[in-house]
Amino acid sequence: MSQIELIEDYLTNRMDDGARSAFEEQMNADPQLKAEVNLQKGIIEGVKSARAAELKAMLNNVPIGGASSAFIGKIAIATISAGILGTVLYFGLKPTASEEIITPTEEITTEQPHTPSIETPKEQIETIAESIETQPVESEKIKNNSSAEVVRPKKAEKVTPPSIDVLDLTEDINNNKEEMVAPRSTNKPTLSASTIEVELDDSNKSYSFHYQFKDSRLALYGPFDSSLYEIIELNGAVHSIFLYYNDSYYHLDQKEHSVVPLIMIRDTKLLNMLEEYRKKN
Amino acid sequence: MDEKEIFERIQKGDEKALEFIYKKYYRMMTKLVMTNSGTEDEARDVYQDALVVFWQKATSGKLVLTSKISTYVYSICQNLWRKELDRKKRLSHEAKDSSVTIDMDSPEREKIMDKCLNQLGETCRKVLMYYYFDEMSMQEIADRLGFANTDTAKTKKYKCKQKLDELVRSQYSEKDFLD
Repeated sequence: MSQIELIEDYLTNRMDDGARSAFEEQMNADPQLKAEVNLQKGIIEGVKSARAAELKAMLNNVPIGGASSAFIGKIAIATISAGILGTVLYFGLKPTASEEIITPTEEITTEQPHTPSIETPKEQIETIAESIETQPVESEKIKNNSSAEVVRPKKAEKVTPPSIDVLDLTEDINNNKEEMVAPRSTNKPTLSASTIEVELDDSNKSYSFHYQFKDSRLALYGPFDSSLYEIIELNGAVHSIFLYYNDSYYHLDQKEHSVVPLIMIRDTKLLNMLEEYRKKN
Repeated sequence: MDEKEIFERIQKGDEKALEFIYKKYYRMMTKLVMTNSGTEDEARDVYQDALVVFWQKATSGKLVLTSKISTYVYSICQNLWRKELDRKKRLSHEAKDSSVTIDMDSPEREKIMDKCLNQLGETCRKVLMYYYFDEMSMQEIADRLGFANTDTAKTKKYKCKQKLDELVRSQYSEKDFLD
């Protein structure tokens, strides 16, 4: 066993008592070994506290709010709502961005009758300006909604902006008005960038129903132009992208840089959620 | 999801299950601190720390759950908050006596480690974190990161650790690191 392995076993408590005391004796007699053990200890402790910090940051990004306990599904729906708006914005703003996008703008907008594509950019600009003022008020409102005994936070920088997603959702479900979604979506800076460029390609016969991400653009291979497709972005703690095509949903892995086949989502929970949302819009 | 399922998922290192728990008991756990002279910030902090402790014990297989998850996490919150109150009390006494500052957890070393870990790349970071903090088995690490088998995981872990050691050594003298 190498020295480094011995040190590691010692530091991760994988030594039995006998080996442990022998190692300690050796360490006390050898300052160089002792220094190495201390260095290794620092490194391992560093990895551990980095992981603890990572987990904490992950939790800190979890939106808390609402009295409901069925959080996960609802939050996802709310973020999808914002994602679809992103799609609409994309098609609204750049109807002829690429000749290869055959899907006509009208087809998309008929699904979103409340959002005339021409007006959308204007709204976007206005609400960005507004959001600076409105955000604090909203935050307070959420606080009041979600809990009566909340003490106002003093260290604002540590706080995740309180559960805008969740509030977004309730209003979205109850009113289902586009204008409710539009201003809120601007609170999430990631959404303005949710315009994934899509390329269609049915020239390659070996890729019948495939996709690939290249230079953050999405390429769809297959006879996509014949039917309506839609890109749904989820901007939650985990950024996910889905393709809706021909009444089916497909998960798109943005890290996938090679051409891979599209695989239909069969998770009924997720499907219901995506489906429910699409119907509402 | 029932308790058993959630716990099993957490044991397997499913972070989504931890997030689920976090949301489910948020109000209940933060109330404990907030009704005991803590702010919401402190309450959230304690609750998050408690869940990290719970996570570590669960993923490492050290925890056999004999009570409800909430009961267990609640008791960690209680302990952590009691400690924090003690620390505050001591601090306020010392502040009166003299201007002794409590030495924090070497922030310099933390900075060095963060930098080195960031240079490692995502997979290496995950391997090392899963191994040292979550104390997952090589099988679990292989499963989670999509390695072919435990040998791949072992080799990966060995190489990643070597790389991290080199980074720490090459960029910083031991003195900087240990001080």
